Amino acid sequence: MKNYWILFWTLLFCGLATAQNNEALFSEGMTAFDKKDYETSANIFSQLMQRDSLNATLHYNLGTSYLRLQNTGLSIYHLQKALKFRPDYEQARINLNFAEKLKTTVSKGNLPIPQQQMLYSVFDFLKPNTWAYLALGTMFTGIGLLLFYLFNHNATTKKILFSIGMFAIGISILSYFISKNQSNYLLEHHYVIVTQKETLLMHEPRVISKVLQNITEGSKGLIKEETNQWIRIQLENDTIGWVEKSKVMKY
Amino acid sequence: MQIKHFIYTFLALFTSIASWAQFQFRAEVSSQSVGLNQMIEVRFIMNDNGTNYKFPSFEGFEVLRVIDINNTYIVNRDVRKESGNAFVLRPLTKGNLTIGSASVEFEGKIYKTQPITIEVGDPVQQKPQRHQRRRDPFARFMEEMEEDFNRRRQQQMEMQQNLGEGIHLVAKISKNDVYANEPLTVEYGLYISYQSGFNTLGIKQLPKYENFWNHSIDQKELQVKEATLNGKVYRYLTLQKAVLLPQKDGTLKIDPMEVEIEEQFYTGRVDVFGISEIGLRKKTYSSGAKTITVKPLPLDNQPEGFAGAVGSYTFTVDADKTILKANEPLALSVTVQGKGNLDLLTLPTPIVPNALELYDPEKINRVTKNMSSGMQGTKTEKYIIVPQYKGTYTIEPLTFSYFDINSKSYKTITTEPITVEVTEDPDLPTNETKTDKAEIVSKQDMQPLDKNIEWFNGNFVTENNSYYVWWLAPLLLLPVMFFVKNQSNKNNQNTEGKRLKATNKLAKKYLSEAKSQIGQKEAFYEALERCMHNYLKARLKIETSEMSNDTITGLLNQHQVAPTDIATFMQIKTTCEMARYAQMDIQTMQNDYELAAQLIHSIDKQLKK
Repeated sequence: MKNYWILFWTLLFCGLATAQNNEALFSEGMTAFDKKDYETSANIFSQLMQRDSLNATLHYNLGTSYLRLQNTGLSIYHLQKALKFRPDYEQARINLNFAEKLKTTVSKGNLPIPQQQMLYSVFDFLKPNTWAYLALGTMFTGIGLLLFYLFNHNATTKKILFSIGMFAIGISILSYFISKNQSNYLLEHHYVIVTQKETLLMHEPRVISKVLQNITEGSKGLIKEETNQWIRIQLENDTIGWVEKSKVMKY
Repeated sequence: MQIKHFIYTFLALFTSIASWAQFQFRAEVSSQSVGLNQMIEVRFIMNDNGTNYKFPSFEGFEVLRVIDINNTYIVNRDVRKESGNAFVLRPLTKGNLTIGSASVEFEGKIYKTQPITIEVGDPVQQKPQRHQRRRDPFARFMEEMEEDFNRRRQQQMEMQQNLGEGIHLVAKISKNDVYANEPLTVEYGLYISYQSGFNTLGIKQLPKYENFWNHSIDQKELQVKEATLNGKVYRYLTLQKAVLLPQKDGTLKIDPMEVEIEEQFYTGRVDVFGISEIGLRKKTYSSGAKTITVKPLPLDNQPEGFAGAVGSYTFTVDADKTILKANEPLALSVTVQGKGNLDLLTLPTPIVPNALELYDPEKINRVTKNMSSGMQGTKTEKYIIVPQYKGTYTIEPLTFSYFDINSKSYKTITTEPITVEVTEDPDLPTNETKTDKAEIVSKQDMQPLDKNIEWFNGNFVTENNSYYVWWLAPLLLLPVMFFVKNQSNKNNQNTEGKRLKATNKLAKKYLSEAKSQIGQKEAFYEALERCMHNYLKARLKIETSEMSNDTITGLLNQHQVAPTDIATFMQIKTTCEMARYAQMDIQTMQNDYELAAQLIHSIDKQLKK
């Protein structure tokens, strides 16, 4: 137990130290952007991204830098990712609209929404970590109530204590699974964005295969299946086929 | 033989001259010895107009032409007239052939010519014939006349010989060995020597350029030039010029061109002035088929996006402006300039962001086709682009690849990307109220960076193992607490259990009789009373059969049994006696039995002390 406390404090300390370093780098990126040196700002934000890969703000800033650089695929990718981490990010939505205009082809239709995403939006009123702490809190309360129940001799109080205690433990387990779902949704990949100028949608996961369609930079697809080198995706026009992993980025 | 015939001719001539003023009728031949392939001319001449003119049948000869002769000479102030007919004959068989005599009637008298024998030999290579001179001292003027006639005839024979050799139809091809799609030119021309000519020219068969893309070069007018062919000077006339692009590799054949010419030739007849007459005949000329070896373009190092351009080119992409307002048109010209298969190549299509609306291009071709270069010029596609929204957009660089004939390698030209800056948004329509949220958003400006950063909000506590320790530790606590509680309960129960066990043992020993009688009122209580007595007898070791209440109380007091137990004993004893007269149910019997068992146990403990 004592070891964990040490671990906890060191983690917190390291976190604070790097946070200060990051803060400096972040403002450097902001000034580079203001000076219209979009290349540098994109570099800085992608460096920061490696340290804090699930940060909506960083994704938004990086996506906006790429938008200024007219890099269609990467700007759409990062802005979409920012919106995934924070669905109510209005600025990201506006800039994504601009990025969509850089695409050379207009895609029509909508992709189906995966079940995990629907669950996520239902429980999105609390952050994944809040759910986790809620699970911890309710677990402690539940156990405390059950201990009271054990050493109490009054039958009615015993009954009440037992039912409330079990209920609290149930809540705890539920919120743990919600927290896990929320974080898993954010960590797992559901869509791809094409980052190459042009790539081919194949009928089979082989280099020599029937070509179903040409897909251009910035196109979005829903991941259906994955192998080592290929991903089976569904496009917005409902065509399903395989693309090479190196030609797309997942989010 | 020859001499003999010459003599005949001589005599005939001589007599005609001698009898000068008289009517004369004579036969002349151009040659008495000919080859099978040669022609002879037979003339029947009279110096006045005779009647009843009869010709021989010319057996063994083919009559090619009959010419009327009507000559007038003036010799020594005398006017002499000659009339008659000349026959151009061709022998049909070899051997000695005889031309029969012709006859004419003049003033009631019939004149006949001598028959003439002609020796026909093997076909000969014709050589200029020297006519035998006649030695006639009296007719020198005749000699001159004859000489002139012979000279002309000789010339005419030579010309006949040359006819047909003077015209050639030739196809000229610029290259025999080309790459696929490399332009080559073909020219069909007619060489006409100065000795020949033609009246009309009809094209019987035009070449069909199979497996070639072809473009014929129009000629404004037919021009006759001077040209040499095989060292000789000819007049030259171009019939057709075409630019060809082979569409297939391998050995390709170009069909011949065929021309029907109505050509001029000498008939062999001479007019009044001794000039040879010219006839017309139809003849077909062919240029002969030509073969061309077409090499395929090399497949290795073929650049991506190669669209079949062969030649030497320059490639440019130009926009007429790069800074403009939304909805303002912009012209983007994609141009290829150079030599090669310009008509067949396709230009790359520009790729633009969808905020720029791209319209179908206007195609401008300025290609000239000529014999020196095949095809040359510029090919332009002019696109109109209308930006829809404010912003900076890039038109991607275009690449154009072609096969360079000179260096025999592929070349690729990549243009610079063009950046278009759209400075103003289009005016919003005022009469329309847009409620679509996406539409409103799209009209806003591009958003700046976000300064509010919340670090590490993506680090999930559930990913950390210590979280599980904190979360699951209390759950482990719960079974521990249960265990502890259980253990203490067990200790409490231990003492009671022993007592119960002993009671059961005693009850089994002494009260078994009563237990079996539970349910039967009288029997049960009798048995219970007996059992209690037996117990006391056994424990206190008394032999007396008299068990009155007083003796029992006394005995128990002696053994220091608690007064409550003694009271209970007495109560049970009274119940047993009362039960004989009162109503009792099973439940009461059971209770009494247990009470008795407990009592025995309690007394037993006290007696043991």
